[in-house]
Amino acid sequence: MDLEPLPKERALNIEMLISLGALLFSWQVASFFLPEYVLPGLQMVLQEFLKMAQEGTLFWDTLLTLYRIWQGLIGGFLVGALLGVAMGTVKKTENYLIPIVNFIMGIPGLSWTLIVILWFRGTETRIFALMLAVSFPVFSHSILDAVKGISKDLMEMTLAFRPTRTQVFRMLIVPSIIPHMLTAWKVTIGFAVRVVIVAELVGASTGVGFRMLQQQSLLNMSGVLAWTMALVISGLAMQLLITKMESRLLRWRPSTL
Amino acid sequence: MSKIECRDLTKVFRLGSSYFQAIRNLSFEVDAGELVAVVGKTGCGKSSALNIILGLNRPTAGKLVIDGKEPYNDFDHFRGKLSAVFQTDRLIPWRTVLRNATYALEILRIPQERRIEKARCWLEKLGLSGFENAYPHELSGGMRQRVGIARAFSIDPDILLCDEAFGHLDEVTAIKLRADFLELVRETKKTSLFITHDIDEAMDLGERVLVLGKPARLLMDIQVPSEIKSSPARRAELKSRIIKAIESDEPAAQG
Repeated sequence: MDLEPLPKERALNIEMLISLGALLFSWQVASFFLPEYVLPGLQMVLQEFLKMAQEGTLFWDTLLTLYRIWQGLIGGFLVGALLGVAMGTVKKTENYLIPIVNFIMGIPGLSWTLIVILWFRGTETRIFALMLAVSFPVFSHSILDAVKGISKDLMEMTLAFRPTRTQVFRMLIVPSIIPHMLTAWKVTIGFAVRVVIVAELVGASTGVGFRMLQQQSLLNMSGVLAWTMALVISGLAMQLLITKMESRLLRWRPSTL
Repeated sequence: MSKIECRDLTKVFRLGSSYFQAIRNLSFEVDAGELVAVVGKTGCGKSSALNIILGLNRPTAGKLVIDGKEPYNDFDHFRGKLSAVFQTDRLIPWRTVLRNATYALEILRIPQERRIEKARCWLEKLGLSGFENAYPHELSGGMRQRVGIARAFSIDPDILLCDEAFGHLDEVTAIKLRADFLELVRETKKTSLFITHDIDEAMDLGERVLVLGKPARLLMDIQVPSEIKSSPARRAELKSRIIKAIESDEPAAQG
């Protein structure tokens, strides 16, 4: 029997290596012609990176920033999920709550940064409130859509067997909304990284945002770029984590191969 | 075993600012243990009737009573008593075949060991052994429908409802599945209502055929004589009477 060979699982994607390589190469070439405070060479950024790693600030400040992001997002997720499910399952709740959620969603992250500084004391409380405020509307919207999108056919099939409310929730609603929940997490993480940096820049004395500001005031471009790298890498790592969870939780889906 | 009584059932839907009558004064009875086929044009309100029997919709007027209780008003009374096989398989995509077959048993809080045992038994009867761990998207339409049938039988309901259950399958698969289904219904002696738009299917499956007009009301109620199996002429005659009734959309003379 002549079976078609399975497509090879590639650990490293060649196309990706080529495009990233081209980017780094042009950077290095450009750095020869530009002053150091505009575009330092890759070796300088790397040096700075290693220095930060040795001093321990790279690890601790990045960890702190990530901790702030996750703590706030988990809070935002819990509030958002509660609101989303309530709006999707209890009649009329949506009509009451959606205007408020939309109003809050319309407030820019930067405005929130200023507001939480005036409202709360203590860096951690402020950042937590900020993360919560910017993330819960996104979560509640996507979970509301997911609950509304639950298949009517499956709902009727389930109800015909007379389940309890908890059973409907556990056996049908929760599993149906998981894919949308994961998508919401991916979107929100990218957003949260940007907001938390601004918050740390304005009102903290620790964390990646604060370190960046420090480097900037020293006119140390290599430092700014090294911290930016740390941020981009951790952002990508978090996205990868969610994608891994996705393929684990959604392995029942037909593969697109 | 349960008896279904439908008295002057009417269902009106609101469509924007206008109204749409899906069922008009529909009356019929299905005796305990009887297998009745319901036939009518597509879109004649058969599925609305099914949802009322399942207790998912409230009738606008009239009554649908099973053993003296109304499925909509006494919703929880019917826990474990009703099952349905739907037009599309309505399997849970994230559950394997086995876990789809245990779905209804799980709702009835049957202990895990018992429910796996029961589900396996039904899957085996429907020829699905070896596919327990497959996901619905990995199966053919006919196999998926078999899982749906296993799920419906798994809780040993009093009443089994089928809505165009084999309607979208190819003819060869449908014939095989119909035969298996009929055997299971006979074996378990369930009160069954089989809704279809296929007259041949109605005559093959039902001991009695109810012919519905559009909007749904009773045009004809005939016992299917056993001779139709051996006499193509009798069969053709019966079929043409049913077709005539559906075409005229008027209640036909009984007999």
